[in-house]
Amino acid sequence: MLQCLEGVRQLCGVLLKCCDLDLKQPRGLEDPEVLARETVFSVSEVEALYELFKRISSAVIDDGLINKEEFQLALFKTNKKESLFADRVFDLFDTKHNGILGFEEFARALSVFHPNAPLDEKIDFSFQLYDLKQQGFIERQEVKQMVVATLAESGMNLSDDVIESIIDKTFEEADTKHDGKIDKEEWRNLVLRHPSLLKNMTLQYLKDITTTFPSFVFHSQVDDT
Amino acid sequence: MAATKNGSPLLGKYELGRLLGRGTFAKVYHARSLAGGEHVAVKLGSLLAGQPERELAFHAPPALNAFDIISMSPGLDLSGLFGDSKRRREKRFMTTASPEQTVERLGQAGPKLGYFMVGKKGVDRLPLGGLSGLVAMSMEMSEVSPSMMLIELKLEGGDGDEEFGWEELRTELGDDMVMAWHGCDGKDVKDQGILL
Repeated sequence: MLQCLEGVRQLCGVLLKCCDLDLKQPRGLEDPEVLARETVFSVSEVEALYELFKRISSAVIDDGLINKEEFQLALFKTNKKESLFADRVFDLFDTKHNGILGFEEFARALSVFHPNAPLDEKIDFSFQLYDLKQQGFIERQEVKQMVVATLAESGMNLSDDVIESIIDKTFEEADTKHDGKIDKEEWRNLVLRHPSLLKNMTLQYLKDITTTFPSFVFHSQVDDT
Repeated sequence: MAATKNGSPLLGKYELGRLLGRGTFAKVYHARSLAGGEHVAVKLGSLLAGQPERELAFHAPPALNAFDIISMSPGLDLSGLFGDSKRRREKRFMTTASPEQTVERLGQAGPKLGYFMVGKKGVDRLPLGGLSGLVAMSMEMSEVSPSMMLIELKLEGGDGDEEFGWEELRTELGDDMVMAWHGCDGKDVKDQGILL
């Protein structure tokens, strides 16, 4: 009698666990079609992206969310590296401003980096990236700060004179209104003249993501556009 | 000789400027393309060498923009999210050597280290699988200041599984050429603070 009950309890336990798994599975990926509609990704690309997201978000705390540390870990393979730029990127991804990235924020932000994303989105994103103080324009001081930070990060130093001279030339070309700042329009013009400035804004990997991160979720109707 | 400064443009295309340098059989002039106004270096083979005057113009390195530098930051390179080894296939360094010297030395180091130089356009013509055992490397030059260039090297094609001997390349190029070498983590930098 007692053994029967025990057996039933164990059976229930297993069943419950199964149910639990089913409920947990689609968390964060309730509706890939929605994201596929609102981003440049196809449904299967969204699913593949979710696989990547799971990998990154479980690195330190397995909570289905990416915190700053996990982000740094994913980018640099070490969480010891402080980077002005990684911080900016994280902040821009974090549209809810709560210090963590959910899958939706992750996918929407990465959509901008897709080779098929509209150029305007890339121009916007990069402008916001460089507008460190978020004032709506890029100041000379911000440019200098970023140049110095980049050189320090890669261990290549240049004298202050050389740096000043480079920034002078850049502003001469970019700051067509001569107000000491680069606004969104001037940035746009600069980038259209120098497309290589946006090379970071495109990740070819996003095109092959379904092969790099195959997902094993089966849908009855998958609309692959 | 077509090297007239006053009047007829060289080969109908270039306006010759000052002499930049000379070798045994050739002279290099600063020139301006009449079509686009771009500044180039034109190498003229001397008639004495028995060679017809050949136009070997290549572009002077474009000046580096502040945002070019900024976009090199590893923090802005999201390809790391994909577990990528892109950084192992690219390197950059600063040099005060001339474009020709740099190209020459890079070319010389090729056979030793298992690569061959390709121009950017040459990448499209790589035979499938490359040349056996050799990796193709492309190079881009930008002017940092009148006497310093930034050289960006990239391994093209190949499967990226093999570790390329960047440190050996750096040694081959020599300390007289490599002013500052890009260390990915900012760690392995020998010559810091090259000032002008």
